[in-house]
Amino acid sequence: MPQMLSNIIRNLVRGPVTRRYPKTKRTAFPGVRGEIVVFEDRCCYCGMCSRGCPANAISMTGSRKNGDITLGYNPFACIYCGKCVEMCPCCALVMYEDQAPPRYKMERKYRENTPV
Amino acid sequence: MNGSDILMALAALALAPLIGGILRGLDRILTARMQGRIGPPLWQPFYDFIKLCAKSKKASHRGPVVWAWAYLVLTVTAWLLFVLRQDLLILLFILAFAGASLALGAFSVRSPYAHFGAYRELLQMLAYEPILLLAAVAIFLKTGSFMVGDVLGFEQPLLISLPLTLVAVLIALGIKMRKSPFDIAASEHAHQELVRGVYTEYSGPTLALIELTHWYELVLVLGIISLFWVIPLWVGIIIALSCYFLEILIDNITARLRWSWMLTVGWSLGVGLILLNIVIVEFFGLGLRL
Amino acid sequence: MPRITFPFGPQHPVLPEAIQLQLTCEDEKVVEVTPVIGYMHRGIEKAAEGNPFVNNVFLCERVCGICSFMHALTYCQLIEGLMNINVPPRAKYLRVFWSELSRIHSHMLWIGLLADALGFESLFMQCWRAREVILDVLEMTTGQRVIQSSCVIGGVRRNIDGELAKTVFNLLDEFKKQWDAISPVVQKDYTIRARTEGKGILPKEQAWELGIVGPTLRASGWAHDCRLLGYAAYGELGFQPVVEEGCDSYARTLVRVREVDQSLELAYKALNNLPEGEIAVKVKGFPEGEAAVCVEQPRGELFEYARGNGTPHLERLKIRTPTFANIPALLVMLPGSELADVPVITLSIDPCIACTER
Repeated sequence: MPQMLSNIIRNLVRGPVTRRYPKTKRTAFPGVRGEIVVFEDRCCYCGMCSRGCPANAISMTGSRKNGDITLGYNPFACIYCGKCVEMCPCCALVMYEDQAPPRYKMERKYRENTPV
Repeated sequence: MNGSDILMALAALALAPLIGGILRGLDRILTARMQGRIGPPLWQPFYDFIKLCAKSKKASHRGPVVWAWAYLVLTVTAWLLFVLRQDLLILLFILAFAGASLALGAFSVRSPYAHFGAYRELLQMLAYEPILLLAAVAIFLKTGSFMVGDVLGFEQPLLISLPLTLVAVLIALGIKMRKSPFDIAASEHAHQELVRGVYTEYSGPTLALIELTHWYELVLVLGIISLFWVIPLWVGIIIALSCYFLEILIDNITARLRWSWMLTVGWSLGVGLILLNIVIVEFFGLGLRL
Repeated sequence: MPRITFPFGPQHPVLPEAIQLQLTCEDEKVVEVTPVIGYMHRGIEKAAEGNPFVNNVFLCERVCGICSFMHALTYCQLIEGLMNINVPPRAKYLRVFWSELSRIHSHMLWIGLLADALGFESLFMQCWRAREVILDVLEMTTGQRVIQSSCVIGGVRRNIDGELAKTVFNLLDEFKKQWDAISPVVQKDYTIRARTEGKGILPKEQAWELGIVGPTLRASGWAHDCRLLGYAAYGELGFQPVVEEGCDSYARTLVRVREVDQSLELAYKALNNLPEGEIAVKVKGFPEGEAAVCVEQPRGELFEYARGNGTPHLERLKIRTPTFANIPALLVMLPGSELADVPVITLSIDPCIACTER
């Protein structure tokens, strides 16, 4: 009992260490794997990412011959391992440091600012 | 009973849940700060209460609901008796029956959690009832009356001659508030082997009823503690509040213990301290009856 | 009093894991226990057969959320053994560093949960607060808090160098400061000792016969630790397993408390002696043949077996997690105990049911 008392009093004096989450957010550490954004205009459709993805979150549909090839990325299946970003030869997949905000429905979202 | 008494009773009826709720809110903030958290707003217990009231009524059958009402009505009766300066002994017996009705409510459903909780609730009563009753006896020996009114009129502060009794009543307060190390029948939060023990089968408005009763109960027990220093009354209130703070502190530095330990403490330490106190006052003449 | 069958789980606030213990109680005494598992089987072993073997690292990591690094490490060592890959020494040391951090954060989590089961919320909060520092280190160095994904076949994915190492040392020092304030509470507090001493006795001989692993076995007096095999860099770092003779829940608590100290020491040692060089080698070819490997997880010995046939897909992957081996211990510890002690005793084997059912 007395061992804990000092801890308690220290906490009481020093004030809380928690954050009021939605209002104040912790800044992400450099190099943290966060949200992945696809810039399809840079994509060379090599298919490295979709073959390497362990979660099958990236899929290539259509074919290069017909010219209707598209890259589909499903953030809900993604496990954020960052393998695709490492593999991508033309920087079409970009990983940001902060996490994607909570989402309730599937939607595609693009960022305006430049990647880090 | 005259007009002013009725007015006072009505005021007490309305104020007690308000004070009790604020005290519970303070408790939650203080506990959070002791754990290094920010904690909920002061009015959180009231928000919880309103939310519980808004939920649909779901009960396995009518039995537990009736017992929950009995718990409320009996506790409120005890509180009114206290405010109207009636007999302390009767008040404590009514309070005991209120506690028993909580256990009976838990017995009237078939959940094993509630049943175990009810057994433990009864054991818990076995631990704290003798303390409260003996405390009443000690007060009687000192003031010559069981009436709260006479205690209020007693010149000399009771704490001076009955300090050990107050310590014993603190144990009873801990058990009544269901704080560690005494949160055996039903813990403050549900992380206990019995989930929430006696309250497991209550939900929605019925649970709100029980929460309301807890506020009355808390104010009543703190009121009894403040009897230990009635002139001037604010000293008694400060004593009661500091006892409350002490309980929160103890809650945060101890783990939950078993019922056998609680019974041992209640009977040996609690009852022993009061008996020692009575012996000192009665036979060694420290502050003989005036 | 008649016998009451008391369902402890699969949804119970004390044990947020999907295991059911059907306790038959006489009064408050437990006379019979039937554990029921199988509530959350995920078929990871089967899924692993359908994935290319390189991608299975990420799948195996998800067997458990707490010791995910160890699962990745085990799988990587398994495949490296099959394919005769020589992992560069720097990667080995980094693997030790991250595994020891995982062990610390798993043990801190466990101590917190024990405190919570005992109704000691303030200690629970303190433990998890200290654990947060370790999670910060993991996030900083690997990129994610819990599922680190930093271990791959042939090495590791991230390096810890100069500036980062300095920050990591500062954070570890801060953790040590916070831990030094908590550990005497866990070891000496009267109420914790009253609730754990003499509860859930697992006799020494019986522990060995039942095949118990990890801290549960070490608390029964056996110096059994897979790290003694010297995998990764453990052989070079050198250490002695923590052994307690108490055989009860208190001894198991003490083993974990002392292991936190030991792991912290090992983490410092690994980071201080980090050899220079590459952190990963390229993997070529496909696994062929059979291999089995043991790794000491926070909960005990993790065993994995794989059979490859020269294709990118494994023919069979078998994972046996430590909790699976430790559940029989409950059948010895629980009967005869009081109902109030059931959460403490159940927690004392550190059950991870998500692991068990993979």
